[in-house]
Amino acid sequence: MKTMKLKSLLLGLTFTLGLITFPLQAGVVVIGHVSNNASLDSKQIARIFLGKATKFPGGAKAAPVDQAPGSAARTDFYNKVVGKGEAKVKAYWNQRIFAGKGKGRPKEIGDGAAVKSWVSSHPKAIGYIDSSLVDDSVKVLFSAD
Amino acid sequence: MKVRDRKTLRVIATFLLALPVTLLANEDLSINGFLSVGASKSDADAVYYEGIADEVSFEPDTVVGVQFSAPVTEMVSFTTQLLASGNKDTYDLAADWAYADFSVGDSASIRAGRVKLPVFMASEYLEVGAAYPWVRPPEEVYSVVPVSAFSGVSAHYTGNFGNFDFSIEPYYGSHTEDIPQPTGVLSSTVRGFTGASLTLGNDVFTLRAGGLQGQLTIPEVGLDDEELSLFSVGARIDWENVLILSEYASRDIPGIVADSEGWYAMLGYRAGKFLPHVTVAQLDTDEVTPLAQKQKSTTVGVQYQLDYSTLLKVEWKNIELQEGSAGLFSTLPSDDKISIFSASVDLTF
Repeated sequence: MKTMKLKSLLLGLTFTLGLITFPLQAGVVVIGHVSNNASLDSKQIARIFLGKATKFPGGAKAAPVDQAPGSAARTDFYNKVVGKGEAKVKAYWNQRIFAGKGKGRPKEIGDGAAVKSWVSSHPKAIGYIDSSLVDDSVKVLFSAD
Repeated sequence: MKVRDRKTLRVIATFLLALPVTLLANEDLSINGFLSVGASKSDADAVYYEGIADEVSFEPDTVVGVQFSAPVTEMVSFTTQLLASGNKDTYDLAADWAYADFSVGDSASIRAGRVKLPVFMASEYLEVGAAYPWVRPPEEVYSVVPVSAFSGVSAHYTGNFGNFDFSIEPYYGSHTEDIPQPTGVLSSTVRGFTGASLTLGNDVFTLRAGGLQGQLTIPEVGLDDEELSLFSVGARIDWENVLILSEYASRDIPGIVADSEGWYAMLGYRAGKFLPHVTVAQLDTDEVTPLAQKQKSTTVGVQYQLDYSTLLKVEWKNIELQEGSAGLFSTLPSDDKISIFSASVDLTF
């Protein structure tokens, strides 16, 4: 209990100072609508979130959603699943958006709960949340480590 | 540097008047903006590229832009970028580009209107400081084609084989621009502007090549419909924490305007929120003209990520003028070794 508190205090401090980002203990999972039967690997997920693929492998249209910047799940997702840090991804989208090629970029929804509720009601949506938030309103499409 | 074409601007103004009506009715409108506030100072007794001088000046590197993009129908969208740049005497607002984009299936689109000229790696986001690590992209290459947008059509096709994505962008149009020179303003017109740019890349590696040609007229220097041609190639490696950028450009124009050739190579390393980088660059022109521009430079800088959407940059550039040329200075400085210090805050919203 004590170590947990210390850990969250440390994490809080780290994020406040914004100097380092720790890998988090709880895993991030990629979720889709309950009707989504796509089987995805991290490469395909990265392509969807970088706007390089607009469809799921089965051919259905994909609509990626992001959590707000600064969320732990977002940091985790980009580092572990997409394989690029957030700064790299931000620079990438700056280049695409202002070149008029920003189509297909993830829609920003809010926190994990907001993403879960969005994905549960949008059949094309794909998002990511902390694994502790998973329930049967969404389907887990991919799990990081 | 900024492009002026009165006829086009009139057309754009008409477009813009009609725009709010379309946009207000559209909840899919996306608005993106960028702001760069930059200051620079040189130790030379002559004015450098884009107005950098020996007093701290904010004008050359300060720019604000807002981009509106809205679907009009399922297949047609409209995008415009309004730009106010300190590069002019006043921060006048102008539509830098405004075009209609027609989607043809999932992987192709055609743009018509005032479109960006995709010659260099950073051509399409030249004004967006937050999209590259320097305060300004190396002028040894970017001055070779001092045009960022033109009037015409462009097509865009993307595809992939295996792990490689590629895109092909052919374009056609015309361009009119007043080029200020130490000797006075040159009014240039390029007709039959035809070119293409090719990009190939994967997660780590991007290669871009482009070429264009057209008929150039500059009455002030006796150029009448003379063939001009440009070629450029660039590479980007973004591997783990290492960032390598390099580009080469060559310009071939008959008559008094110098043929020129420029290149640069940058090595950067991402260390947490810091991105220190070093760049070497060279610009070379043929010797026969009084407008020869020959210089070498080394730039050392660092980019710091202040928060998710804000970057701070500082850099120091050391220029060595070659063979008595004034390089990119408007007049010959008394010393052929010049330092320029620049800093900027770049954000996107």
